[in-house]
Amino acid sequence: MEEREIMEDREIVDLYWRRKECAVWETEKKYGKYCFSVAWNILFCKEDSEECVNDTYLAAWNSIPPKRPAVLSAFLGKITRNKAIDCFRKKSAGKRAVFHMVDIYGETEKLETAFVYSLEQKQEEKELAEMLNYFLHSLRKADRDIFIRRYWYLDSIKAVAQRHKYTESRVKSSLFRSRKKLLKLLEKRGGK
Amino acid sequence: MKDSIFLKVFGEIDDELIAEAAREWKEETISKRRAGQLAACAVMVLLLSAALLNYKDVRAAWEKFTTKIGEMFGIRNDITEYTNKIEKSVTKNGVTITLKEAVTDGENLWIVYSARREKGGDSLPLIINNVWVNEAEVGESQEMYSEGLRRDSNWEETQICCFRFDESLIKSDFVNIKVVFKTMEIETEKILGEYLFNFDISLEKLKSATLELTLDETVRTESGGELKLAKFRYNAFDSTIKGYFYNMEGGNDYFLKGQDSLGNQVQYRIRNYNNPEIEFVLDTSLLGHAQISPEAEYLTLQLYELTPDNRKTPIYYEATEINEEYGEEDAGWVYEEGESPADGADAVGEAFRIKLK
Repeated sequence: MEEREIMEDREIVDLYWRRKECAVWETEKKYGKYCFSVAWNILFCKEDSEECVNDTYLAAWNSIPPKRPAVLSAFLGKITRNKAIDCFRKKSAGKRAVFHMVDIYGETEKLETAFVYSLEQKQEEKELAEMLNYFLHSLRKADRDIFIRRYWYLDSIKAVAQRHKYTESRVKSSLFRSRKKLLKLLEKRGGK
Repeated sequence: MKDSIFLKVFGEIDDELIAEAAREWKEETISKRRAGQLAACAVMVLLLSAALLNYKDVRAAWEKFTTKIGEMFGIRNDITEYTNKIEKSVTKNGVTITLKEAVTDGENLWIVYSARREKGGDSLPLIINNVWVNEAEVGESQEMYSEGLRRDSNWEETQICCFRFDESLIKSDFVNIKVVFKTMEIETEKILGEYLFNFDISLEKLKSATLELTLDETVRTESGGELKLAKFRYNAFDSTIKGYFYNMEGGNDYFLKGQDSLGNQVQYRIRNYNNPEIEFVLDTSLLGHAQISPEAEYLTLQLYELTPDNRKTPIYYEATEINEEYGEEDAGWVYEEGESPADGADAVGEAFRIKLK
């Protein structure tokens, strides 16, 4: 099998800055599967996920330069996640994707209300994101990982449980506690 | 389907946090393996040596491993004298909570409890804890450790909960502890029962065995950061190094790595950073719990800096069979074994010694 050398992130970013098309191939080589998994976790559809990933490469090509992302994986992941959520909303998603997202919406219903209220009270999205960073850093490492895997990567409870070698009920407990902590923090900071 | 504001805002969290969660999860699995290996070794040694030792020696050796907290943390030293046995059970609505052991060093409280639900029913409910130390509310546990190896059922689990509190709450060598557990059905959020445990424990022996030292070490990083280490604290359950980190490079991780005078490897990771105050804690996840030998005369440590570019991200995605409609075959993450979060970190400045004796 051909040994494929993986470039450092800064080398890939340099290729974008030098407008070399191989920047996209190197991105695909290093982060293609990662981006696909981010999209797949939302869409559960191969074609749509691939389309999101291709759109991600195009968006990266158009935004670097002027941007110089410090963490390329997260930069690409954010684009893919936004595109996949957008695609999920616009297209008629399959049953599996709908059930998965309904579960997540159900779990985060109270947080959704609190976030909407905070934005109505003129809190900026950026401020809320900063508060989320503070909240995530305050969690113990395992709980933080579980929370991010569930609500950023949108993993299934089963997948998170397998990752941590926990039971599914343990993962649900961790998420419940963390959501409760986040709600408390929002209340403290003037949310509903 | 409508847009979710929460998911949208959550999409904008720090890049570092996103990247961290993309890496292999190590903490619990390695800890469990370590604890398991230690427990297995302990049983082997005891079986082989039982015939050679007299009854008193066998009993003393056995007791080393009969504290649940020692077994779960994989502590190699004898900690029975610091461990307060509680062994009280309360049953409500088919769920029994047994408070097994409690330990305090005057700044931390560790309690070991098990929860069991009669089989045939649902899995274990959510268990919420709340603690009071000398009547002052400390709140929910900050850290929890699960038993792991033996925990293969949805109806029973054993956990260690760790609570940190201000030392000013301690007035004497005896500490009053009140623990209230609540069990709750996760789906309905219905409270099933409340479990109260109220007891006194002694901290005298562990407190006197806790080493507290003032440090005066400064390490400078190439990027202009300055780490000043001021306090070292160590006992069989916990070890911390506190100080100040000025101009810390954002996005970098820092570790204090080294070994004690007997060659035991140690690694401290950042537990809290409130610019510039910093607290490193002995990393119990990779090396078992508190592996500094009580016989060690000194500890040699060095600061290590891990930049995002050097961080290893062994990510690849292996799609298994995907059922387009409602497939049960989940695709998943596959990672490589045998790595540490500190892999790729570079040594910074000179190594320094902390005299333990």
